[in-house]
Amino acid sequence: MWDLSFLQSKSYWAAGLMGLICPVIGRHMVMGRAIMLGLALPQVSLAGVAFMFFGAALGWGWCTAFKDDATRAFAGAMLLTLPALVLLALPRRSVKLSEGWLAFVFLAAVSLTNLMLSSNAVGEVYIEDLFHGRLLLISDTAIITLAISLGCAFVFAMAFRRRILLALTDPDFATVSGLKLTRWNVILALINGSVVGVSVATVGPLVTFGFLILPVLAVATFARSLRTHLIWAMVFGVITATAGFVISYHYDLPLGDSVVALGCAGLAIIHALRAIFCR
Amino acid sequence: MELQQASLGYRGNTVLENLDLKIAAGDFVVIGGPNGGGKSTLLKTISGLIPLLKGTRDVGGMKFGYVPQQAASDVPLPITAFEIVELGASALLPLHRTFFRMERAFYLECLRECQADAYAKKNFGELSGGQRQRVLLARSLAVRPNALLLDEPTAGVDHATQLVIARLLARLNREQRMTVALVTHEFEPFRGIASHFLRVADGRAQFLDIAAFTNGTANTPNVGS
Repeated sequence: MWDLSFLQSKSYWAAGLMGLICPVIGRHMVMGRAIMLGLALPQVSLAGVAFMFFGAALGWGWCTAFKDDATRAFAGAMLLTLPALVLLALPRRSVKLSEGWLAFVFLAAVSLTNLMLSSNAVGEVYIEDLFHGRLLLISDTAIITLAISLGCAFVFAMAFRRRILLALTDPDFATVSGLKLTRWNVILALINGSVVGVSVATVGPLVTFGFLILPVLAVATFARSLRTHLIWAMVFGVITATAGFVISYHYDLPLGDSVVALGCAGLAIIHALRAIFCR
Repeated sequence: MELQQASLGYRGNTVLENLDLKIAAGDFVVIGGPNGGGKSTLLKTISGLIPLLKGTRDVGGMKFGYVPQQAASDVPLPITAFEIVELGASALLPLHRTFFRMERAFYLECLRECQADAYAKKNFGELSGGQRQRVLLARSLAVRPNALLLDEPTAGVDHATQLVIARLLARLNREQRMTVALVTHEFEPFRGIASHFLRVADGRAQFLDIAAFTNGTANTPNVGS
């Protein structure tokens, strides 16, 4: 039971990194009341991955130029994610419009992904692996890319956290006080987009969405301040990744599904405990 | 702060037309009128949140601190009163200064100024309406303004708290020569405090005395200063 050999696994470090850093980005989505964005965006990234496999199957030169499937997936995820986020960032002041657009984007991305994969066996297998978060075959290149992009996003998100959170929580006050709202929305879109795009191409949309949202919601029930909330969310993410990995390792279950199911269980248990003890 | 021949509204839907309005440094202006009359539109135009449809706006060197309606300041995650002030104040601060301890002391001073330092470490979402309003006021002071714009600061709070907020604003206006312009439906707390009462209704804005203001009857011609 206490076999710690999983610590040598690259896939564990990828999951741990996601658990540590995704909550920093996920709280942008919760603070901006845009959880739908966290749901839609990984799906857009996945549509980008599917698009690259679709193009490669049709022999398009710029899709076949990538030497392996992992690089092609990265390129595809970033191709759609960043422009989509920048476009979605612009009408943010109208919440209803944003939610409507997010629902539209989610539906369009899911249907196009399925259509592009309908006659593409290679792409279908790759996307299915991503969807279940099967990290076991993660390459060195993939984990280095993931670490660099998450690390950069973390540094930016922490350095500018006050401006970003102000723009998200009270855009009117921020504007009157002199904050350039459009600029910060675009910066936020670039930070979120790079994390989501690279994460989806590496670990899939389920794990990405799970780590973005579950830790943030789980610890919101007991944290007392933004600072403690962030620290606990990161701790929750790492614990979930570790425990999920151990369960997956011992019982031979898909890693991504195990981690996300455990995160959901953690969220439900924390809410239940709070309901019982804080009545 | 001056608006000249200004038309105010949203995307071609004009709410107020040909408005000439001047608010001098140190004025205390209470803006009232019926719902949908254009009070908040006027305040948001003064603050620069809504662009003018026509005319000119000259802020005359005023730096605004803005207190939005309470409903606009709900935060979906746990955040302390101190962090609310800290976030607000960092909007224009150079990045390196956001790490300075002396800035933190200044934020506490702003909370103290608004008699809100006692609940600096409390969760903002668990504070009463009046307490929240004081925290939002402290946040607006933390940007070091010389004019305060407040959108219904006394809405949803009891009469005693309305008086506390009114006295607080009066003190800032008197001691720091802070210009104050606020939108409200409750005029009584500002009787004897406000220097001007501006009634906004039917596409017009008029300065009135308090009696005419509260019963909605004009006794002075269209707006000036």
